[in-house]
Amino acid sequence: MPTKRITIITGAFGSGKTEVAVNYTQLLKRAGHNVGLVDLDIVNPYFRSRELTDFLKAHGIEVVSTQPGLEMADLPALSPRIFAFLQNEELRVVFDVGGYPVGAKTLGRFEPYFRAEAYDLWLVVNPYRPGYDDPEEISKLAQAIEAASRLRLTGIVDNANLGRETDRQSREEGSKVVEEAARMLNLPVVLKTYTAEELITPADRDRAANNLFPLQLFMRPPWEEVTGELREI
Amino acid sequence: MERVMMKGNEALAEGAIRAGCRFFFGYPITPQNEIPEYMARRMPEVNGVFIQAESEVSAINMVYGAGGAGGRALTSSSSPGISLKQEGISYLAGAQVPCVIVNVARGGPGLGGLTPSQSDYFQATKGGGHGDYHLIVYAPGTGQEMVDLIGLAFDKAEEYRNPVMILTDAIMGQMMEPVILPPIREVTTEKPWATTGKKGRAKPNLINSLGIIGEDLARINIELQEKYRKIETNEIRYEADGTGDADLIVVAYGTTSRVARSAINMLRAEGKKVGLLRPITLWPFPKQILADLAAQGKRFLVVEMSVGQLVEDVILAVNDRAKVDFFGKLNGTVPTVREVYNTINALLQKGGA
Repeated sequence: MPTKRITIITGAFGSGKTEVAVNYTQLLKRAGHNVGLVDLDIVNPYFRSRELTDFLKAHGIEVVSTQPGLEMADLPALSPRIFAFLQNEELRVVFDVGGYPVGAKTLGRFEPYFRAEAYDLWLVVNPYRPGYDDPEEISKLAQAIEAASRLRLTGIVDNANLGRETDRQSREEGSKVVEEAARMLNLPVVLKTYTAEELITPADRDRAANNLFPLQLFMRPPWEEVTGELREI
Repeated sequence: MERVMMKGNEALAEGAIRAGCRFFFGYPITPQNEIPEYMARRMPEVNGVFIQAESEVSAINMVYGAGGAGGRALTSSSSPGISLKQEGISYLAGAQVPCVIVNVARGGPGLGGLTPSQSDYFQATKGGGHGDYHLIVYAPGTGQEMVDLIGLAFDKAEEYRNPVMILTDAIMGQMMEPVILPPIREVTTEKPWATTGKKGRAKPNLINSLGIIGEDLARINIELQEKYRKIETNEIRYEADGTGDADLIVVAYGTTSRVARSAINMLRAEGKKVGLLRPITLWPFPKQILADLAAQGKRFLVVEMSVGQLVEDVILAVNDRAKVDFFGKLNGTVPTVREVYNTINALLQKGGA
């Protein structure tokens, strides 16, 4: 799948944007790119990719969010270093954007860059989040995010899951909703996430054609982090 | 979809709606903002009322009005905001107004920080405001319990005409878990005391906490204390997991009970006899089960995100019949599974002394 230098990850609150963004930086890194992650989430100060700054740095991925020292503050502040990321043509840049159209609004500030260069804008969808089990509602969200960001979506990320209770059946049922929404929006499903091999269905077998995307979960509650450290990738 | 993935805060909000709550009054504060945000969108869909008040003090007094008129009323806040509400909570207790108050606690004292904390335990269970009163306090341990306990909270509030608090924290409010939502309930409770008009009665109903004439205040307090004894007799809830054969029992609620359970599962897999006693009601407190387990020769470890508040109730309940150890983390940090695992292991190796 050919992808652009700039990838912007949007979606509803709690749809899995950060997990997708963080995992996508890993994929780019493994493909040999220099990668920078922009944490643009100023909607909610919990479970943001900036919490992984040290870990990602150890894996060669730079993270930029707000002014150093204020990462955990509940402030709508962004670092000017984001412009440095955008101006560095050697860098693949992944934007992890805050939830809903209100989160996507922050993208407006960088519009001149997105106008000058082709980008990917992906909508992460988990139809198991309340209100998004209906393709119509997903379409409405997609349009609202496009309006707020003044950008055009280029793909849908199918992140149908029920957390630890996900099984093949629930994933398959969820994916049907996402695929229907993608058809309505006339957009491709660019990534289809899975967290365990046993969730792969026969229909998924051609992994490349289905854009299967293995997701390692980083944003875990403290009771799931047995060692208090993150696994090596 | 039958199951949905919900943040704890969203689960509380939708759980309240499903339980017939139609009045929400609040004021923004992290980490509970998803509750008012959700209610602002959801209440108009169910012909309910959402008001963002001008302050926490104002919001809690709106609860007094709506609850006094017989509505199922809810307010939510986080630690500093709950402190602001304390005068109103005392009035609600004194006037016996049924209502539900959610505290998604963060670190204190003062303005504190945004990190999860359990340092509001004293405030929730020992009064908080002035006077001899109690709230019923529920501490959910899962997303599903957020839904179930807030529904129960509205029922118990009306049954006892008493304010009920849901005490949770930033982690529980922000983490996402699959939940099954019950259908929306019609509430048909008779409320002959509510201020809904005289309707031919001789005397008007009055929602009031004033007891200034003669023996009024003494009478009110006796009535309240009788009610609290009834609640202590009937409403204690806890989960005892593997306490039967355990040598050591961890006592924890909410986030720390989740961390403790992960550590206990690891230890159990190694053949070590460790159990979990999780209070679901923090008031009334499950004293008797702790006393009984102490009498059986168990020892206890209390795990908290505070410097030690729940531990005082455990020590009181155990009453010198068993050893009680404590592992706490200061505001701003969450105990890790490894830390709790190591603490339990060290205690087991030290033996019963």
